[in-house]
Amino acid sequence: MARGMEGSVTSFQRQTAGLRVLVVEDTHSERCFITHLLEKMGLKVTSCSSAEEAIESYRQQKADIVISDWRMPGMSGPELCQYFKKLPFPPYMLLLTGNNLTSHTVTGIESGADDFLTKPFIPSILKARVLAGARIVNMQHQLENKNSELNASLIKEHAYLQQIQEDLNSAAKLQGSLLPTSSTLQNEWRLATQFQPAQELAGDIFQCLEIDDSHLGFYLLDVTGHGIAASMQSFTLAQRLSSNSCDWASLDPALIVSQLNADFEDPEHTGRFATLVLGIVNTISGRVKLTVAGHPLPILLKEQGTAMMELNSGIPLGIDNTYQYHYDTFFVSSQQHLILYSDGLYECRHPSFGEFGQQRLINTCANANQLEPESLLHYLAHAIDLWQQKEPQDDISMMILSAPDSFPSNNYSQRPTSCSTTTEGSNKDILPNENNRSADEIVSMGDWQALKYEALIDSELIESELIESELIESELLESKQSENQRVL
Amino acid sequence: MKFSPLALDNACLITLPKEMVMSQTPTLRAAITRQIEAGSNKLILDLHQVEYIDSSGLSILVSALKLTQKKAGEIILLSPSAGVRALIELTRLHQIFTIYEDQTAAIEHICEL
Repeated sequence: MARGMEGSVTSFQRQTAGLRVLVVEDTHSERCFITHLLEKMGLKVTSCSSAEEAIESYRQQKADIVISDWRMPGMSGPELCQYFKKLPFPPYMLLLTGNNLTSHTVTGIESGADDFLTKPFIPSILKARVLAGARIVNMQHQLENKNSELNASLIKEHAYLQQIQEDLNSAAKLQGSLLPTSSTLQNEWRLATQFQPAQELAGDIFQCLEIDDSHLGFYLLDVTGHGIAASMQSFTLAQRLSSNSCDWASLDPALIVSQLNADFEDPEHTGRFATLVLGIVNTISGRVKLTVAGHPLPILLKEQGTAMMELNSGIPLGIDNTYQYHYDTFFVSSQQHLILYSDGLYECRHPSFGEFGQQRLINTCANANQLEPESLLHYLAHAIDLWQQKEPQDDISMMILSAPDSFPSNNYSQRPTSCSTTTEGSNKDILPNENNRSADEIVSMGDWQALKYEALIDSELIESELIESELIESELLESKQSENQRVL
Repeated sequence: MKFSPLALDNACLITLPKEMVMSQTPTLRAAITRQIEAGSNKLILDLHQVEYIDSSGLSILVSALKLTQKKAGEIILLSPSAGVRALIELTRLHQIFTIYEDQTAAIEHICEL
């Protein structure tokens, strides 16, 4: 028995170690009695004869538990409770009452008391109530500590995330700055570009570079996925394709792509691959040699018959490093434009009408074929933006390579030289649909272009076009459904 | 995703889910890789439920192909929907994958000794 008591004393001491108690009691004898009892229990006690004095004392020194009489001159016990419970970290409140009335309990709890003790009480009851209070106070302390630890680590995480975000932003800026902007190139060829990453960093990358006085090299590549890993991969590939480390002087796109593919690495075995379209254009003759590796085929924009080009395509990069790529040869005539783009352009989805689709892309290009390349890209970007409801789903890259308004007098483009291949396989020549306009026609077309541009760029018009196409689609769907019903 | 054992111990039919997009890629790839590492080097990837696949979804097929090839195995794609087949053809992956439309024929092919 004695041992048991000893045990409980130890447990009490453990639970109440370091706790400070504030006793508020106006009757001198009772105040001394309670203080004496608590001190005997090993607690640190401060005592006051009124609530007002208690508030002042608490300001000087916080207490964990406040034991207060109910009825006192001036501020009462429940009023003192109310005062303390408004503090951000209130003490545990134990109210002493002279009776056991229900109304007192209600008032006490409403004012924020945590426990009650009816006077007169025996010391062991006081001790038990103090122990109950100590448990709660300790638990609160533990929670507070945990909370502040959590807050500290949250602040740390937040700072870390912010650091990553800043790094991403500067990487994105770097990526953007590496991409070519719209410009006039050698021999009056022109380049127009548009780039919209889905996240900060894109898996798309494109470039146009000067090989010699009469040849431009260009490519657009798209690494699976987007984000950091895809972007690092596309940086690596772009590095390999930079003019210093790549044999552009061979003027053989198939050779360049085969080499790039042979060096492609996927150390994590994620199956990551890249699609690519890479070409070399002779800026005097308009002859283009183009190699496609699993990439969507370019669109040749011309006054009549804008269409996706029919070219041979090899498998994407990174699948079989022994694969040998081939190239096709064709001509871009004056006032024709070669449009390269990533799949993000037509794979974007509308919540009810699905994918934008290659056909819609071609139609959109064909409808706007009188626009300046730069404006056409804006127009396409806007149409896509509306289609995917302004929430980018994948990286979108577009690049238009435009032939000059007219080639030098000896028009090579009408008589393509037969192309000798450096790789095995059949390379085919695609003859251009030649149409040279007179200067007058070009001028008048310029006026018309301005008009059409204004009309096209009007977003309402684009929206109405989209809605129109939606209506057509829903009609199609309905007719399909009724067909199905007939079948049933 | 569902794994169904076939008559041959090292063969398995994997039914892929409705969507194979970037957000699901790591989970799907890990599950298929585990299956191959556990000894299934002859796989039929059943695509008939797949309604939407993006390029990172395709990378799962590519990683599975490369891994089974390394283990002297084989992969067959089964019944891709028109949309999925169009994407496979656009990226020219049909040049490296065997595609079957009929499940019985696919199983016969993969299980023949």
